[in-house]
Amino acid sequence: MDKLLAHAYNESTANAKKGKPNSASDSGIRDKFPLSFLFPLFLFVSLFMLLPLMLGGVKVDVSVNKYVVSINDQLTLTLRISDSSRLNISEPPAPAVNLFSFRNMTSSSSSSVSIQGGKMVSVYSHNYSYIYFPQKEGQTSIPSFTVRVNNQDYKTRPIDISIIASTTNSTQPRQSSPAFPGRDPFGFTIPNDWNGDSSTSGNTMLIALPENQYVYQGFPAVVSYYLYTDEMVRSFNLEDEKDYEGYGKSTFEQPTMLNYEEVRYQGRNYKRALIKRLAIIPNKDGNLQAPQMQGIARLYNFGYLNKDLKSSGGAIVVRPLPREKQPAGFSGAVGNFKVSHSVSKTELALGEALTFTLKIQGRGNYNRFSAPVFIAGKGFQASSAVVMDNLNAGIDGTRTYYYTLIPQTKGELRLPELPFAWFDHDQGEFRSFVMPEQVIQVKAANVLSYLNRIWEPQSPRTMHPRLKRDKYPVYKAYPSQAWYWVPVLLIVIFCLLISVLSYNVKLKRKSPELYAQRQAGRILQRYMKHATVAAENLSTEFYPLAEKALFDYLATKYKLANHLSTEEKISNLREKSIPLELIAEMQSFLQSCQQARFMPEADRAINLREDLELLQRIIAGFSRIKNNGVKR
Amino acid sequence: MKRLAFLLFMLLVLWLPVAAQVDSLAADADVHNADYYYNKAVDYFASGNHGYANLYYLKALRLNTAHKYARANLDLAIRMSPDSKLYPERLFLVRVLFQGLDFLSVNRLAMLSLVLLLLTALSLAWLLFYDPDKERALPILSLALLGILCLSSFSLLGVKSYRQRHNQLAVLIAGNEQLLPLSDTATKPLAEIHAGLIVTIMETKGEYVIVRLPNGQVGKLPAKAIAKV
Repeated sequence: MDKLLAHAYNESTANAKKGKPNSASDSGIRDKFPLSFLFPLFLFVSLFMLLPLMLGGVKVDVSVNKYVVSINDQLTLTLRISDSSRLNISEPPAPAVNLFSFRNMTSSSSSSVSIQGGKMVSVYSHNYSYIYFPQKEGQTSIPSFTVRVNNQDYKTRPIDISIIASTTNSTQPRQSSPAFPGRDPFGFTIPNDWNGDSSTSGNTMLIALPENQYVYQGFPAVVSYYLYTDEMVRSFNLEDEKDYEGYGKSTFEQPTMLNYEEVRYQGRNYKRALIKRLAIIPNKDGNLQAPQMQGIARLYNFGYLNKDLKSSGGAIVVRPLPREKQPAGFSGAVGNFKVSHSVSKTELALGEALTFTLKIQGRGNYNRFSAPVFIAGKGFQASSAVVMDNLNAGIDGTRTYYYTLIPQTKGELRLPELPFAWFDHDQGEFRSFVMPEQVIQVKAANVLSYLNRIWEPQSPRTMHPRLKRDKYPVYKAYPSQAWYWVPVLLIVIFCLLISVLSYNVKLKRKSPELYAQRQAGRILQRYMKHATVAAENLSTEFYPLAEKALFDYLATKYKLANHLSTEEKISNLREKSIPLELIAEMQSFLQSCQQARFMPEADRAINLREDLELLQRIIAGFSRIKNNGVKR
Repeated sequence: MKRLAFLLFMLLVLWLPVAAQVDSLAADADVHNADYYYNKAVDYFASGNHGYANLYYLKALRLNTAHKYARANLDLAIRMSPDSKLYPERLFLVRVLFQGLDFLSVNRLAMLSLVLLLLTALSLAWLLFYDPDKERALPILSLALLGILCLSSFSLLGVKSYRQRHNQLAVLIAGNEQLLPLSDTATKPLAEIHAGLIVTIMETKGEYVIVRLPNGQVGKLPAKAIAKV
């Protein structure tokens, strides 16, 4: 069951004090530095001092296994305390929760060391789990309670819980009555002197059962660790598990509470509760010893006291498997299995697929044998198996293999053999799965049957295996990379360019005069720009630039050859019906240009502004005239 | 014209550091490779951890929707899961459409868009410089078709890129979990769901997230019970 972590806030009044400034030192510094400088400095120092608290420090988390609990269910409140240094914790008493009765408490501790950024980081943590049973339906809240860690108090936050009516009729196991009759020791008036050291006259022990057992190699031996007592044991904390050689193990069952049952052991009456159940899978034959558990039992005897316990028993004698008569298809399966099979259909068309299911139920070493494989070449193409496990501790439950079979020819086909054999532990002999002869009718294919793979999504296929890759290059989406947008940009620019070019071509073809006029305008603009700048700067370069701009403009607009003299160009313009006033103005301007060439440099700039205005007037006059001389 | 070219050039220059930053962020996050995620998913599935297996299959598909092995394994895992009935059965044509969209991963779509843009540009050039005395229906048709395809392709690319960056899918990683009603007063669970179920995150509210199941049912789950893709 996943836990729903609820972050608690850790409040430490002692830590908060660290952030306070030292008033004495402040006054000393204030004399040397201005106040405006002191405040940011103080802020920085305060933050720097609080940095270790923000980055690390004691962390106290509380969580519950569920926020909505049915009346038949149980609530587990988990308190986790962690820090980078060893913890000194006063074991926190279970908080009293309205509508719940407290039943049990377990604790565990762990430490880990990791290297982060070249630095060794240690984490020490303590977990306390409190088990509660709901008493009646309603809304309640686990109150905030105080935990004392390293002589500082931390408060947890309250958690709201809803208790609802049972959704099922199933009755979940609940902790039975305590081992010792009398007053309820699980009330909330728990004394704090749990660690009292008084001795008791009763008997409490931890026993691994069966104390001796015989198994065949590979078969999982289940060892149960029971707490036997004739005293009143309030709780039991499992502290350690000592392992021995020659086996692999997994946890088969671990109750979260002490469920007592009455038993008779060695001539005495005891109550016993299961602590843990392990599945031991022997790797070798001979004598093995199951892991030894160590823990502390809390006894109540007019006060609480601890008792250290170590488990006894749990010897396993492992017999080797018989070497003779090993059947084909034996791949190491040992167990008490029940094997069955099924096929999804017995009639199909070529191109269709059928699903063969092999189900293995029972207890055995499921992790030690591989999936059986169909014998090839029997008219079917078989996939490798898809495995679905529903196992407890990997030893008990059901394993299902799914195969997809595709017929390769039409007709009456028999399913290929699927050799699977195992060693039956209880019978002490090898057994084989024998598939009864089953005929599959395969019809001729049609178009639809080829489409059936798409139409029939329910038929299982093979699970694809891992891909062999030497390295994994980092995935980069092309649109997030610059190089991708370079060709996009170039193509867009290309489109714009060809659009402009095409427009000009079209204009030149449809209206050559307009085109020439626009070209002339562009040229004029270019030269006039230089001439205007020269005029504004009172530069003597104005006249040559202006003259050139004017002639280039006229050459483009009226197709005047450049090799003609000024007189010849003017006479050409007269022939094009240009107004005489405009030609006169142009002549006047050209004359000014001629004169400026022979003037001393100091005198050239005198009429610059007037001549610029004249030039602009001339150009404007020409612009208003169409190429044929008609005014617009 | 010069100004436009300059503007486009500046856009490109400004885009370079942004793109580089996006790349570096992607590189820092994880190995960030579809095959890597796929292999992790296969390992998780083999170890019986179907929740994380589905999570990593989805991570692989998020990077590359055309990863056929991840798609096939995820489909199979979904069909085998106890919540398989929660997934809607799609019509054949819808399924084909989705398969087609999956085939067009972001990078494939990006290249396709680029090719279509180039063809559109060539088609435009063809039309603009086409002999004016001839019938121009063919270049107009080709330009219109390619233009539509190009626009659709870039639009789809935008949508896929957005979804790749803002994926709202999540997977239930806890063993079994109760889907709780949205109302705080109602306490009866809506459904019991199992590890590996793919949900869509709609909103996060404190320690809970409001999710939509594949069958459209909406409820809330503890945030710790799910892992976002």
